[in-house]
Amino acid sequence: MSDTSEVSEPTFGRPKFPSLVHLATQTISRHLTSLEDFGQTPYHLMEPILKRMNAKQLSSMEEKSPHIVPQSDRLWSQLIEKDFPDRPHTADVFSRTKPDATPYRTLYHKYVTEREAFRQDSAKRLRRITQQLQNKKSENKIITVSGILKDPTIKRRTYSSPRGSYGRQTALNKSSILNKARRELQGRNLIFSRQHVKPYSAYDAFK
Amino acid sequence: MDTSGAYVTLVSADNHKFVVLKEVASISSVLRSTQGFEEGKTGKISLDMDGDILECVVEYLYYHYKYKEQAESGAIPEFHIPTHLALELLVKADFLDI
Repeated sequence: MSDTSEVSEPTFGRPKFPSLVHLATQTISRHLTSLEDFGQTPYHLMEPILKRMNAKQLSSMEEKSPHIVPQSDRLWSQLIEKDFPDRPHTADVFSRTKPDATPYRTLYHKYVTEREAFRQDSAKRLRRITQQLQNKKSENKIITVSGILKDPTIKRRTYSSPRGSYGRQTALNKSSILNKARRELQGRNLIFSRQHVKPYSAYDAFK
Repeated sequence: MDTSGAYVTLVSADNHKFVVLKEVASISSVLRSTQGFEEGKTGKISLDMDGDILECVVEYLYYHYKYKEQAESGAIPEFHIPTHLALELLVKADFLDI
């Protein structure tokens, strides 16, 4: 009986009997999350399981089994494709001053730090823009004022205290009807924009 | 004791002995070639693995022997591997080429 589980000659249509290696790999894959340490297991046995790990797990595995590091770099290429689909995942895009033993892993970490910086910057920008919007809004906001404010850009003759012998009784006597009317008119002019109203002409009807 | 019969004894590192058919042991190419060296001796093969791992290996060898012909055509029962042994089993299975 020379038949081992691995079929060497091509047998199209006849499925292979599952090897113990395959079954053990399957079992480990099923409990991927509880896998903590690979120990000295050679890389070629670890690869199918490592392929299914996320960046965090892979980092942890590399830390515990450093012998896999040179070979596990290609797995980082896959992770870049998965986690950063918008970034270029070819390591030779970046010119390096020194030769990197793990180009893809370095590239992945670079993307991570860049993303983190971008997110922090985004938060700042968002805060700034929100503040700007708030400021703009408050410019147009209607608030109550204690009294009618006069336009400071218009020069007004201030009616000072009585000059000479005549004195201006009208200025002093603020409650006079004329002044009251004048004040009210000023107030209305402030609130309502000046409409250029055409003086009434009876001939308009004939035009 | 069966020394020249159809059986071979697999001995674990912690001295557990498993008597298996030679035909079954031969599923592993490594065991098959080792058997040749054991010819003049007591028909024992010492293996560097724990008893519970070797037990699982022997179970697999019989599983393979029994269902080999059926492969996927008949529904073969699932071979269960205890999770805590899986990692070590992976390494030993690779060594034994099974």
